[in-house]
Amino acid sequence: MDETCTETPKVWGLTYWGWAAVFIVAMIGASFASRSGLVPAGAAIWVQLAPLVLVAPMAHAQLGLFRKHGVSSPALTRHNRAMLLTLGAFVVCMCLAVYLSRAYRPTGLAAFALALLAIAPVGGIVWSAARYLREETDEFLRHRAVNALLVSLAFVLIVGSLWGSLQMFGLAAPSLNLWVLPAWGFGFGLGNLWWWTRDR
Amino acid sequence: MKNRLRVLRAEREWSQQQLAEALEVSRQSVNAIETGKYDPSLPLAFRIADVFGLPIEQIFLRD
Repeated sequence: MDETCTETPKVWGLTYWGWAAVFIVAMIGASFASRSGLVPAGAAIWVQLAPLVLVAPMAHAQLGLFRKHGVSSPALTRHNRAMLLTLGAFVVCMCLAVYLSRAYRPTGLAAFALALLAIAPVGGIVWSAARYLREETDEFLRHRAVNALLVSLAFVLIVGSLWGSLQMFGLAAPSLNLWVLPAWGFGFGLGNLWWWTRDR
Repeated sequence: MKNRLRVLRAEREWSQQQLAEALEVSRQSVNAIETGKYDPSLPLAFRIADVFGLPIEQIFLRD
């Protein structure tokens, strides 16, 4: 039997599941609004990035949930902090790159540098995950993280391949490949959720 | 692999949290090992044996 306390931790009145639901609805809403013409084409990228701010309270609530269920370690706390920082950096770099691109219309090498700037923090996310696996001394938590990372990889491969195949046969619209990072994060969340449900 | 972790812990009146602190792992790890959802590595199994002061084969049993 799992010896846990009963109260579910909340952040600003919502549990982790509440924040996750709000985040998913916001992502779908933002995607719908920017594709349906409800927002001007120039503002679509900002609308699509906006829901990412919800990741901060969601991650905070998730840490509380993990602590409640005895899933906590110094390495995990450091990893979550690093992930939040890199995700924040991703939003800032992406916004800065889009702004500079629209303001100065760079070409050639400058455009390439801007494109790299936009996605540079993704390297930080990969580094943070690798550092967590190296620093985690609790072998069960490390085992769980590896499995969750495999689920996220499978999720991205399946969604990406399926979307590419649908596109090839004219059944899906060409997509902005920036979905890869949120999809990876969503897959990681799914993997953790599966383990959490299994170990309850 | 079966184990007698829960029985041994109950005999000593330890909570999962207390055992987790003694082993320097998360409480979820103790729970996963106790319920047979996770088999510990040999080093962790030896640490568990040390904490209970018993030989490893008196804690972990073959299926």
